[in-house]
Amino acid sequence: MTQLQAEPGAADLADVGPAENFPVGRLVLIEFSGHTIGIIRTRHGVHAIGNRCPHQGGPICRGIVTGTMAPSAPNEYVYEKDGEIIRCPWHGYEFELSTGQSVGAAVRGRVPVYPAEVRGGRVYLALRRKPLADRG
Amino acid sequence: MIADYDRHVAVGDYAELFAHMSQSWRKHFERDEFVGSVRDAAAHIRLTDRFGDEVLAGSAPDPEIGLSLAVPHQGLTINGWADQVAAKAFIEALNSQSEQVWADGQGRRAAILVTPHDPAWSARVIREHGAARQFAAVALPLSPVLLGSDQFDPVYDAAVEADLPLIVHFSGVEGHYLGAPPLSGGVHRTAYARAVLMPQLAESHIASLCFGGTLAKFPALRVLFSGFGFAWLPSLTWRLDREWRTFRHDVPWVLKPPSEYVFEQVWLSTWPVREARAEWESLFAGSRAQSRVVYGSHDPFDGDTVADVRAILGSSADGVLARSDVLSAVTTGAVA
Repeated sequence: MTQLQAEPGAADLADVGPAENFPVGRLVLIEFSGHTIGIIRTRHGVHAIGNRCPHQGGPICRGIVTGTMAPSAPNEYVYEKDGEIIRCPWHGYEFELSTGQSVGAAVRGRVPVYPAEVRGGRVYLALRRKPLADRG
Repeated sequence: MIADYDRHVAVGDYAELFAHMSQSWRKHFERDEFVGSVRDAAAHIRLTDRFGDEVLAGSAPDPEIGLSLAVPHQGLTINGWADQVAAKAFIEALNSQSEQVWADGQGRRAAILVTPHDPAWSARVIREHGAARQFAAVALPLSPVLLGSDQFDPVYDAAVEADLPLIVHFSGVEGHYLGAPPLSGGVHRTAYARAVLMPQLAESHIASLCFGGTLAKFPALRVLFSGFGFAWLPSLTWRLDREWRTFRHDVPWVLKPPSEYVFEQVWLSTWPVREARAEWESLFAGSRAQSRVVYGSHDPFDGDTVADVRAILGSSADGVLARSDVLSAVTTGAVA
């Protein structure tokens, strides 16, 4: 697990390493300013989440990254959001990687989500919760 | 107005139904194995010697009761009949008896009997009788097919179209006769063992209605489980929600916690109210589960009076007794 320290920056984003350290589709855990953060690059960007399920505090970053089934008519399955959902290893609850919100509002509370971006071949992260409106 | 949603009616002799049959069906049924079966069937589901060969006369309705819903329980037993063609003639005769004798279109209403073994036919029966003022519900006996199966969609369509709630009441042959649903664990030797376990059926079918997507698909469908008790409801809804949170992706047609559907579309009648003596205050106070409970006397089978309900449910009894949202506004408006 990579140990990093936050560095004050223009937009309080800290460099957490080269993008190749974060292969697309694989959630990588880092220690950042005393917090365990899961970082995953997807086709749509990079996401950073805290390692705590809002249900019972399970280590959500150890869950599988997957898609989910969209609301549908009975007995029909419509798979969507492949690679955009993480499923808690403790109880299987699903959360959106981009917002931390529970899929289908099944669980109250959200997984912590932090601002992250890839710039110049490197991944940057800020240890502040993203306002819900900014997530996406 | 107090409504009694579980008042049983029956014929004392099946020959009484001949007046409601064609000559051909009358000739078919004029045999001791049918006419005598009013006693045989009762013997198979009888719990005590109090329920003997003679049909029990119902007690005089409590003067506070403004509406009673008659459930012709003999018709429910067709879930265990081998001859489903004859079964349909039988329950149609009972429906005619309800329309002409047991219900008056005012304070005495009846449930339209249908069969789970022929949903298309049952839908036609609902549409045929649904507008008659004598009827205020549809009684669907249980089969081994769970109610969340889409094979019952024609029944639900017709019930919603007629604005009638569905009443689910055990017939007494469940766990005993082929054609009726089994009880879990195995086949019990005695009627009293089976009677103890009937709530299994209600829990099972409520889970099916939720997870099968029926309640989501038919948001106007109202289902009353009658005679199964109700003390178990809080634990059931908690367990439904817990499993849904984990397996929502396996039932994406369940768009909200299953308890939400139950708290909007499912009701339970009070009988036997005494089983909830301990649970009512501890589990139901302040809970939405309380809003699902309506009065059902189960008269004349060891029924609960209005006074019994008040004695057990205490200060919240009157709210239960006054609840009428399971019925259509047309029904309650005609009686109020």
